Amino acid sequence: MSSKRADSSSPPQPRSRLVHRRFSIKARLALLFAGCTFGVLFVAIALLYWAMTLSIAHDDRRLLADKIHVLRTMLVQRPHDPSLLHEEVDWETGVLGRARYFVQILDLDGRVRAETQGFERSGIDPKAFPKPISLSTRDPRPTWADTADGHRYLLASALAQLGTTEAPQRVVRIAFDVSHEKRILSDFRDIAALVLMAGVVLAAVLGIEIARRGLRPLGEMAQTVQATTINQLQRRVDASEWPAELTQLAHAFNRMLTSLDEAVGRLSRYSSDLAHELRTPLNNLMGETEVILATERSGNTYRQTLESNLEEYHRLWRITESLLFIARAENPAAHVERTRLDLGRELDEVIEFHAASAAEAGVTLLRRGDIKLWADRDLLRRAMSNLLSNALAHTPRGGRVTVTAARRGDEAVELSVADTGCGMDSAERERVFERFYRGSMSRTTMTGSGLGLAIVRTIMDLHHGKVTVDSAPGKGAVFTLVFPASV
Amino acid sequence: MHLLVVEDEAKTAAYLRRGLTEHGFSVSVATTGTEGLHLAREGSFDAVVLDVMLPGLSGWDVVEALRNAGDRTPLLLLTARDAVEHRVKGLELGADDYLVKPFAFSELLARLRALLRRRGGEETIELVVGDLQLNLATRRAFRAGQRIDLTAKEFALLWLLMRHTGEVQSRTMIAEKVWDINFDSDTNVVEVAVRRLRRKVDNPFDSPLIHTVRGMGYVLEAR
Repeated sequence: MSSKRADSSSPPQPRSRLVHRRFSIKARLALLFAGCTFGVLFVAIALLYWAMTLSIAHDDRRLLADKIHVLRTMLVQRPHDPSLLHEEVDWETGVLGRARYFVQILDLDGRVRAETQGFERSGIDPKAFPKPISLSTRDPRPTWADTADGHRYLLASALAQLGTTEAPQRVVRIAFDVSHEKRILSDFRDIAALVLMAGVVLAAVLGIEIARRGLRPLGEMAQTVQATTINQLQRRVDASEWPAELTQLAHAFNRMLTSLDEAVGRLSRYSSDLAHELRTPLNNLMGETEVILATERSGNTYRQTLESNLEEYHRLWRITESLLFIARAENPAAHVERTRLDLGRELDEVIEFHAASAAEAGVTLLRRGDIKLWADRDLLRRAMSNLLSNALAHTPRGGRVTVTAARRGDEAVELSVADTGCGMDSAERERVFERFYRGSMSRTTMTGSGLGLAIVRTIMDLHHGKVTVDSAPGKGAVFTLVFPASV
Repeated sequence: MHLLVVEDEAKTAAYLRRGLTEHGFSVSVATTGTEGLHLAREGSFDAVVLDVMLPGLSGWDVVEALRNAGDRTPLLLLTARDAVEHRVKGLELGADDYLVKPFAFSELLARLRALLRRRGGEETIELVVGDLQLNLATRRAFRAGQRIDLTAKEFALLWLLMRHTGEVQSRTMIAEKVWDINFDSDTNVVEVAVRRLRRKVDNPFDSPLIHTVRGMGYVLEAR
């Protein structure tokens, strides 16, 4: 079943890899730069182009209007002298070197009464002229037409009086050559396209360069991260010359490295300690069994060996039990079952459990305080029991161990176990809650797994509380459990 | 007393069969859940010891199947995982008790006997072993006619040992039953308490009744 399911799910994998491909920040910035530049340049150029065409069209109209006015005036003042028309147009054409415009004068029936030279040859379609404007109109309302030889003409026509007649007698047509304007505009478009392209390319290149410079610290950081292996957790990122946005990241990364370094250190110390702890009972088991099996022995000897072995097995079992307890409690899903506890009674019961040992050791056990506390009963008893056996192990004959329950502030509860034992220095105080740590001044060096106080700390972690120790060499030690106010 | 042991681990099954047989039980062994369920349905056993991790049907499946069929035979589960959910699950399904591996054999014996007794259900007021007498009602102890003064915990300890005459009581079990300490206490408290009890119960007299079983615990019996 399962293998079949795996087969059917394998083909889509390459596709999903494509979907997950990501652009680099450099590429994104370059694209963004290029896009913005394109947009800005395009709008600017388009506005310029628009303004230019407007201005040209305005000039053309004015020119056309002027010409129409001149021709109308001419027809009124010298109605029957077409030579004037030729003079006027030809003079201008002569000055400019070529015909910039053509004029045609028709009567109302459409017959040509006069026209400038070359009108026929220009190839302008007479039907392309707009409807003539009335006498009272000055705005030429031109249309335009392209001829076969590639010229562009603005076309206008207007009614005109002949002599002193009231009604219009003639139609004036003007074809104004605007080919050079067309060329200018097309040149402008070409240049604009070039500028646009160059701008976009330049922006993309600049974007890449800016991104490269901006991201250089990130690259350095990536190198540091890549070079950071589990054996080199002492490395740190030097962020002194980095921009503010990235120093935060660098500091966070350095902090992470520090805590990783500590955790890995603890873990490796812990596993070597663990191996060491297991080595002693295993060594006893192997050695003893081998020696006994080497020769034939009495049944009683075998029995004694097995009994001794059983003691070692118990030792191994206790170590695994305690470690499993700590490991389970470190699981974030671990929870405690709190009940409302009568601390006086609970403490008395734990003290009673240790009473015989205390009496044998010649140590007085005292309790003070009686308050209520929400806590996990079994865990609380275990923590107190571990603290008591720890205190008893370090207190000489004639000493005293005092258990005190007190309320601190409004709600928080403090439980302390104070002994009059040998105490410890600051180095010991720091390590006393570590797994397998055993104090150098322990009165009975061989009892205990070295896990008792680590378990106490675990129990307090589970209760979101803490355990502290206050001690100095020769001054005894006070272990305090602090249960926080709010649950 | 006829027991069924369902356990796939050969060494475990072998020592369970041997140990339980030597303590007066007759033992059948099944090595898979399916076989175990079959045997449990066919034969009439006084109790079943059941591993949770079994090939085929798991121990939980067997418990469920038996309880659904209305079988009330006492069931004791053996589990290698002591996560709370793991432990609770067996009990919720209808098992009577559980032990987490590794466990002391003496503890298994004690729990099995407790399960079998639970069915009997007779309760005694007075216990007598040899010339030692203990009365629960008057809370008095006499040996060879002499009154012995005991503290409350000493009385509870002696009652526990006498109640299970001839059965080894491990330190863990003693701590649990006398002081309600349900965890490995990492101390020699039980040894000290037994030593003090011996001073009162055994030392003044000729033959000791409380014996140390090295590596296992303590047993009270007239030898």
